[in-house]
Amino acid sequence: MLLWDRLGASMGMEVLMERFRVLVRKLSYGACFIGMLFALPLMLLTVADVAGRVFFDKPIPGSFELSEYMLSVLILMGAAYTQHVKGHVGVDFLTKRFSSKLQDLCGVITTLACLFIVSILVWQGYVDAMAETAVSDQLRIPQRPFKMLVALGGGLLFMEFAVDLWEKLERLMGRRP
Amino acid sequence: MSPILAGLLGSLLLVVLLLLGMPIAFMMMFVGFLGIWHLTSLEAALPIVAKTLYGVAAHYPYTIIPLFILMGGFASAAGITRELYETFDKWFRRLPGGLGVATIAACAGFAAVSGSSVAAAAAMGNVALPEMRRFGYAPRLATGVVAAGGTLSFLIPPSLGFVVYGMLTEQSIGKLLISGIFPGIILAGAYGLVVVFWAKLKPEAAPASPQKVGFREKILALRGIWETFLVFLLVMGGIYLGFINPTEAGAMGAFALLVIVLLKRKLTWGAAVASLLEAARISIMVLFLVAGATVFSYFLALSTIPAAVSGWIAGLEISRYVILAIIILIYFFLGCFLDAVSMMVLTLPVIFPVILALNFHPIWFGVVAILMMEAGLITPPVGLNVYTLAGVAKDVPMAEIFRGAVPFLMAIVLTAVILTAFPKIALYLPGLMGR
Repeated sequence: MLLWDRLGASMGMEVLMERFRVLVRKLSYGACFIGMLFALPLMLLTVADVAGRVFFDKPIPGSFELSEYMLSVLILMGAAYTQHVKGHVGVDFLTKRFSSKLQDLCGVITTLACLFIVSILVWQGYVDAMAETAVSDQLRIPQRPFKMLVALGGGLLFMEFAVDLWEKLERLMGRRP
Repeated sequence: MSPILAGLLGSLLLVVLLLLGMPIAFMMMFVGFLGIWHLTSLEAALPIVAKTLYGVAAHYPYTIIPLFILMGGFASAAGITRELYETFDKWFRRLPGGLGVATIAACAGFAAVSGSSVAAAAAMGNVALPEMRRFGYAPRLATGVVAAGGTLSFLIPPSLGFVVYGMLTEQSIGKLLISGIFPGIILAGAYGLVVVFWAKLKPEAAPASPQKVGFREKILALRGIWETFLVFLLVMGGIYLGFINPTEAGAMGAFALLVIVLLKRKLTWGAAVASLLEAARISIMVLFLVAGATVFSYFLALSTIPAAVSGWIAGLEISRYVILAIIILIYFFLGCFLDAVSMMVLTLPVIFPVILALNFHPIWFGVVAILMMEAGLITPPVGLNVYTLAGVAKDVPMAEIFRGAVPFLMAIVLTAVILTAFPKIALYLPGLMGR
């Protein structure tokens, strides 16, 4: 009875993790999709600013700070998706010569280190954003929501690494091929 | 524990984590954080990662990165690679290894509107490889040409390599981009000569193309390069003449290519999303690396290692060119295992102060460093361009592509030697800027 309970709990956990995994992947892609769209207004705003300055001697006010804000959305929102597609580069020329168990063990160690530093990023990103009261120079746009993206994007990144860790642990314990 | 010992232990931990496969950006943040904590206090270390990341992600000059990558995406979608190839094919067909020379010329042309070498290798692999194979070119030569040609995007502006180098060393990105023009032309010429010599020595590797092309046809074929020429003139001309800064040039270039692709009605929803996603992914990868390098640099600066190393090397009684040769060899070796941006962020915090202490020109060294990083794109076991091409030319073993790229590696080394003997090649155009 105890064995069945454990197995059932384990299966329930697996289903839960699978749902969590799907949710994280959807959120990561959605956030990156929103972020990447900001590349277009970033381009158009800069072109309009140059055209205004060269042809009419009237640059667009605040284009500089708007560009900075748009870049921050693009970069911070897509960090988790970039991890999902293994876009944050590392080297594997040594580990790929290891056995699959040893590879997973290395993966668990490095993912734990990533989780540690990303958790500090999320925590301190939130603290820094909450303490922020500054506004931009020309358009008086508050910095806080953009600084909060460090915590938000970092939170998604943390969940991506957590899913990675779970997968590696499952492989290490022989539950996943 | 002395700061220098802490710095050395931190560097050792960095190497261990690197070999264990940890993503480099987070690895540098992690080690940098621990090091700062040890050398100062937890209160001082805690906010650094988050503050640095936001500082990098919201820094105006870095908006250039997604814009340069977008240029490459829109240029690919517009079919510029095929047009360039068809034009240069008509001009160079009669040369020994003419299709290979045309491929190199088309790669150089694509490099003039794209900042990504992998994109160039992939795009040209789909266009030029089938043609060369159709005319009976040896797979080794055909794939070697495309893999090497793709590296030109890293040197010929707009180049992502110069942007990252400029960010990390606080040099003018505009001057760095302009400094790549002449060395890029020389390298493209050297690649072309490699193909010609290869075809002369082994005619069976590059059968001559029998069809003659009339002069009128050649002139008419130039229609295929006007878009590239126009965009390059707009972007680099604007920077050189000082009308626009590099970021604005990136936006103008991406916008011009967007207009071209829209006018040609070639922009599909899939191509647009792929271009934007690529721009986001590469920008995020690069800027996280820069943020990681910044945190790690704080730690290294606290450890006083960069100052100690540069002071020690400057005090050695050997020629500065010997030290330069050692640095170049280190880059050549690292290029076998690391991608170019990672190599820069890992090495420049220590190597750049050494270069300054040895009185080398920072812009000139930027060009030489970028050249050596280009070599890393085609050296085994981790040559990114070769990997990309292996995905396109599925019937050619990867080892064969690496062998095909070897003669082009020699061309890179030769170009580095020429640049060291005649630094003016890189410094002449930047020297004229801002007068």
